[in-house]
Amino acid sequence: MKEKGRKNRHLANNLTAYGFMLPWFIGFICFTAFPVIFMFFVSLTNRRLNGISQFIGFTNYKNIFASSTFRNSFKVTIFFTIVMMIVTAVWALLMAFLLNYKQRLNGIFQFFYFIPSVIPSVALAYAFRTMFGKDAGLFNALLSSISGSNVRINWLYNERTVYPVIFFITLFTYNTGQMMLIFRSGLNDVPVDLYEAADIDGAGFWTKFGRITLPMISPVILFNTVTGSISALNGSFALLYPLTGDTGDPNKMTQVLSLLIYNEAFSNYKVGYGCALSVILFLLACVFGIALFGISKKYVYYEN
Amino acid sequence: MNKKAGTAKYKVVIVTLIKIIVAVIMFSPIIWIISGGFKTLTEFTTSTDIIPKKPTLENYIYVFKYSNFFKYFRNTVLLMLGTGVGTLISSSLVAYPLARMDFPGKNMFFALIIATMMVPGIALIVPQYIMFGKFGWLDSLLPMIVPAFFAHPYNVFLFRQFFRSIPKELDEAAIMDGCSHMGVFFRVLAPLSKPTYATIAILSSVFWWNELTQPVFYINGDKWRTLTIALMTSFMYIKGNTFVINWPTIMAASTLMIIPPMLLYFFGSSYLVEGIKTSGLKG
Repeated sequence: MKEKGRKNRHLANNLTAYGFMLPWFIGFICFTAFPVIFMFFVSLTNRRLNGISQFIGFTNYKNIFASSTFRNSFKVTIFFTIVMMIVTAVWALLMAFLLNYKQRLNGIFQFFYFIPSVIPSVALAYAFRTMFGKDAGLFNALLSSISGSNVRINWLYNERTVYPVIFFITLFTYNTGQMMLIFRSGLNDVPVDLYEAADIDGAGFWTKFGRITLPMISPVILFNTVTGSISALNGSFALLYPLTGDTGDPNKMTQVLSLLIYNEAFSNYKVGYGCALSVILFLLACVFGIALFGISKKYVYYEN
Repeated sequence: MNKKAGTAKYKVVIVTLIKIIVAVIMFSPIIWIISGGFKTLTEFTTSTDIIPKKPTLENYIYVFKYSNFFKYFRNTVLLMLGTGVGTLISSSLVAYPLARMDFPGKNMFFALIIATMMVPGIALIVPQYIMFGKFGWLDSLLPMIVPAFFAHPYNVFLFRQFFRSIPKELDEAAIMDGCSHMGVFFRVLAPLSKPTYATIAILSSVFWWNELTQPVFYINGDKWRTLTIALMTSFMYIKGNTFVINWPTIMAASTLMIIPPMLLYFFGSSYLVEGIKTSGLKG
């Protein structure tokens, strides 16, 4: 009798828990699991944007791997994701470091550092398109006044300058601001007595940074690099689409997979092909996630 | 001793200098946007002066008078409110048992939530586009608002972390007093978690105010156009001329668009730090 009562209470407890989680169950099935399976099925058809489709097996994948546009896009995506992840993480850590150096007016500095990351990426993209423009661009004007000659470089359409400029622009994205906030709280959590002990031992700045700060904030670094690589895969569309278009100018050098998917599905109406590309992007994200966790097991220091 | 004080002072000067340079770099696009909005098209395409020679309001007049600015603004606010309310309710409810209860499959579900955090939304947008098309939701805000009512993994994660930082004795006492789990959630945890609700409300509002990707895929016509798409379409060209990009109008509209997130951040920054600080990554 008593046993049964406890069992019932146990059941009621579990049902309450599942009840709380019901929104997620529904959301997971409808908006994640189903689209993943559905995406795979559509990738085996030649579905067009108007909905007409026919089963064609793995033809889409064969075409994808034979396509030089895809190979280029795949390389650009990996390059873009890794470099953007590193550049934004380093910049965010630098800003967090500067802000953790307590001073008056720190609030104002934090406002200036964080504010570009909360404005719409499309507004930012247009600002930089004109700042790095050939005529009446701020950057050319600055270089002209420093060098004394008339600099007229079309930064975003020049194959040699487009990458540095784009990675510079990624410093202003949402992701960088987020990382900076998380790094700040991570830096604040490092016990002060560790630094004091190191000071007594006469350790310099770089020794303290390499031996104390980095190991202590390693979980935060891992978190930021994982979320950073996902948002690089995800957020590059909102930055690059208004910046260089879905054709990835110049010469497809900035056509990451998300732009190629949009281009194929909505400009060329090849939805089935677009789904096959999406499957590849999905798998790529899985590889990134697993790889980063694999690396972290080896290097990350957990306090508990 | 004196020498040490000297080097310390030297260090302060250097750090402050770097801080100022970084601040100027980070703020330059915003200055550029604001200044551009007050230039004529001729001045914008010929001069890089930050202070316009002949400041003009013609771009703002164009945005307010000759475009559907107020409609786009309304659509964007509706999108923000719908998704914000949805994710605050659903994500906090889902986070509660993950933080506070024991039940079979808990760790597996939490791992799944973390795993879905890693799935880039853009990879699923084409199948979702087909699916929402079947529902007849395209060209509306529904493909973005409805999923928000079914919990957003990242927000679930933030809520769970915050709930765990609240002493468990509080809800154990409430349960002793005969409170149900619903009661514990609404009377104990939710009121104590105001900073997290505020943090997520701000982050979510800013995200949806700025969001370009999903509206680009889901919205085609003018009726439900958001401000971000309007910047790429309606504000972009001079009336009747699709060859010349009307940069100063884009800058004027951009200026209007960067004000709300700046205000949100300005008034919410104390919450932001508090809400994220306590959602530390340990444990």
